Amino acid sequence: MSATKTHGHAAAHDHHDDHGPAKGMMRWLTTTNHKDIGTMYLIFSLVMFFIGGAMALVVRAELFMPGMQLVDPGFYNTMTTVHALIMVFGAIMPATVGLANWMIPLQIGAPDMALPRLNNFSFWLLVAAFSLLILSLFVPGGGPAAGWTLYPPLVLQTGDAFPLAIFAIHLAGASSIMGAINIIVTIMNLRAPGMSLMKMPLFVWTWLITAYLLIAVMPVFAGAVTMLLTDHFFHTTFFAAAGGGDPVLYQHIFWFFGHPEVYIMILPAFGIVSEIIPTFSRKKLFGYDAMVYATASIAFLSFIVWAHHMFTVGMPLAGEMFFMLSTMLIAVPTGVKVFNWTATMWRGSLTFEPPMLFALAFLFLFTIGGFSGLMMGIAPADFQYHDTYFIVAHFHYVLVPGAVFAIMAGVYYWLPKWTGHMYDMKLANIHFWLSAISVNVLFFPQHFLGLAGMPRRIPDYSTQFADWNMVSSIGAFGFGLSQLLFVYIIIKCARGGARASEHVWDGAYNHGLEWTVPSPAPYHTFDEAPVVK
Amino acid sequence: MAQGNQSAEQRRRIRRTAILLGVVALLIYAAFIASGMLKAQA
Amino acid sequence: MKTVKRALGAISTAALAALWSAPAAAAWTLNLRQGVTPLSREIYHLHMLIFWICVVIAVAVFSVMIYSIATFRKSKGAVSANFSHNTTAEVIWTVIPVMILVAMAVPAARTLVKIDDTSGADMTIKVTGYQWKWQYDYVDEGVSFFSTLSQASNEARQLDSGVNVYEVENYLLDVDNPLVVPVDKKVRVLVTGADVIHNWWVPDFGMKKDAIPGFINELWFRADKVGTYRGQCAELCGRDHGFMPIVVRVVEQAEYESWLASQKAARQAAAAPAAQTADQAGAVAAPNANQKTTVLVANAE
Repeated sequence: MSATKTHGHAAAHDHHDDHGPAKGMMRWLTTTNHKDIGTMYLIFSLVMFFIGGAMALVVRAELFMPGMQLVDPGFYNTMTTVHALIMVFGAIMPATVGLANWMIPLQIGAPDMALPRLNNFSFWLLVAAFSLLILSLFVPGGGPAAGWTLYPPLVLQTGDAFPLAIFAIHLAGASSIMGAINIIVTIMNLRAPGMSLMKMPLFVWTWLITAYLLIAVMPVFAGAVTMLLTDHFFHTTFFAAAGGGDPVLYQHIFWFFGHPEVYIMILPAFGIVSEIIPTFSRKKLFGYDAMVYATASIAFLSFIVWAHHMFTVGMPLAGEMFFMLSTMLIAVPTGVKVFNWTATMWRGSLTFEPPMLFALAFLFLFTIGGFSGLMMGIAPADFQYHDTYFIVAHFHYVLVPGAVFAIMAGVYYWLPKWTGHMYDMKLANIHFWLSAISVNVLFFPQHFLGLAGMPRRIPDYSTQFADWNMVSSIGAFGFGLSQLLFVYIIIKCARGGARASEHVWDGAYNHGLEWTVPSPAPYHTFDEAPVVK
Repeated sequence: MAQGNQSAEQRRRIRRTAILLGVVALLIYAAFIASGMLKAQA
Repeated sequence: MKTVKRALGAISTAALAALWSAPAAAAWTLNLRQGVTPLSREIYHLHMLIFWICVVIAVAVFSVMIYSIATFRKSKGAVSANFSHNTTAEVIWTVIPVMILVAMAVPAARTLVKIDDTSGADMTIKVTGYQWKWQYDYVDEGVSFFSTLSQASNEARQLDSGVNVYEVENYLLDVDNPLVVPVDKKVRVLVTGADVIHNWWVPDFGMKKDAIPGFINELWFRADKVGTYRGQCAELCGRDHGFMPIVVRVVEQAEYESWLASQKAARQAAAAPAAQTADQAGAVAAPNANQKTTVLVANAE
């Protein structure tokens, strides 16, 4: 009885509130709207991408020629460390969270996320976290310089930046955990009637699984850095042999988090590609069920491979053997996904708009990254690859033409839905080709450098490594500059452009609830749940 | 506004799941620190 | 046209690499070296085996992708088919990869077992990583010394040194006191760290191990070719991580023995006057155990 009253009351309020969002600064500080928050995450990640990218350019500039030309070796180490921390936690993860915020409610027919205020808090926590991290660069002793992996004992030699960096990590981790909780309860509770789990878009599935991974492992990372903090300030000896502790314990704890973390970065990318390839092939995703099971298998297996990051640490033979075999195994479900995307294209009707270009580049280049990963899983061979540029090449292939290209594909796919305008296709094509070519010039030679014997995390190198380093650095500047075009395209699109229809893409009919709402998507969508058949 | 058309039951379940997941996260955090303490003693 | 561009785009740098093959081949190195020990060669062959398997799979998969991109284009009038399952295909492309992985795992496991067997060594050397140099300790011979980046390299690598690094021989890969070992002998290396984690790596031996403070790791090698082999620290250890190389001279047994003898003699000769110098240094400067040790060792050279 009172329930009905409240319901009627709320409906009346809905009409009143249709005067739109608040105005000015306060809108962005206090919004609980998933579209606003998604936009903030995406803009934040783009800004971080450029800051992290600038640090990478400092690195590649120093490595352009042998000899030290530009920076102190200590500062160089800070650049590599903070570049990675920013790219992993400030660029890639927030970008995928931004896409999740925008698209998950739309794709499941929900009016918003289940916990909108928590959503707002998660975002602003990130801003706080990275303000601290960037601040840490300017304190005595300089920023953290022990690598993004923060191994002790070395990390305990960090100066005043140490507590700032640890606190930044705690804040970012809390943000991720809260976001993950929000995503799980949203997906589990707010799906439109008729949308069973096995009818959800794959982007939603990959995010559901990613969210569980986040809850399982971000606290582990928090535990590890808490122990670093107490070792440094409160005389504990978790990781100090002299006190009965073990530096290798840190590595085990870190990589127990760290390996699932890389899957946290790539699973949403898999989801995006699984949305785009079917649309532009005008054909349903091949093997939907297998794709779901493969994603779940990858997530499960990601928990039992971590020590492949530690093959040279001095593990007993049985340990090395186990982790080698489990690591090789993870190639199987990953391969299944690659085959299924290919089978989706087979006998399809393909067109090559920018989202599809980026998705196809992902398919080729992520697979190359996967192959180098398989090589690294062979433990005896890894003794030659470990801590060399071969590893650097591998993870940049899976993260840059892998995750980043998938994110860009997603932006190019959904931007017309967000803004209501088509963007400049010609410019987007140029952005694609410049990026795809330069990213290979940048990272492919790094395989050669690693095989030739060049270690990673060094600011200067012996002259036999000079040629490929120069090529790689040229690719780096090419790639970095090309991304300015991406910003220009987005801003130009937000400002205006050809009107986008509801379904935007010719192949997007019947391909998801997001293509049934107007473009731009109204501030509030699905106030009434749609019925899914 | 969006929560206007959620039932009380839905809101209960959402809150319950959210708290459960948050507690799980904290327990994992505590467990790993405890593991560090146990290893340090050994 | 677009297809051709696509294919080139995907493997453009590999083609680029081929173009650079002829002169100055050492500079445009593409592949792992075979090394000078039986295990380094085994590792090389394992690496090539996995590499070629990956190439075959890549060619197969990429061919299907490129064919699809070229043929099933809407612009060419292609109409999409309706299928979205094929259980047979899915089973095949799950089972076959598993079989390929098993085939890879067998030789890999065999090599791993061999690497782990440090028994029956002819000699043992203890290696300690410091920030930023190595200490070598011939435990059965009482010979021990530090091995630091050579002065020429160290001067050249300073910011704005003005030195042309191409004119420094073995730039960043040269030390004052290399490790000397006899050829064709099984050398067991105990690796540890003094301050932070380092890593001792000689690519020509195919062996790499973390040097962890408070723990001792083991590796072994049997070099079968006389020569000088150079490696680098392979674990970030601070500011000068890139400037603490490893140099190992593998020599004939006779030369090794005479080198060892001269090392021992120099230590004995240095021990007498050095003891005096150390006392003086101890009296003048603040008593510092580390300082004394360094003085002793320096004089032994």
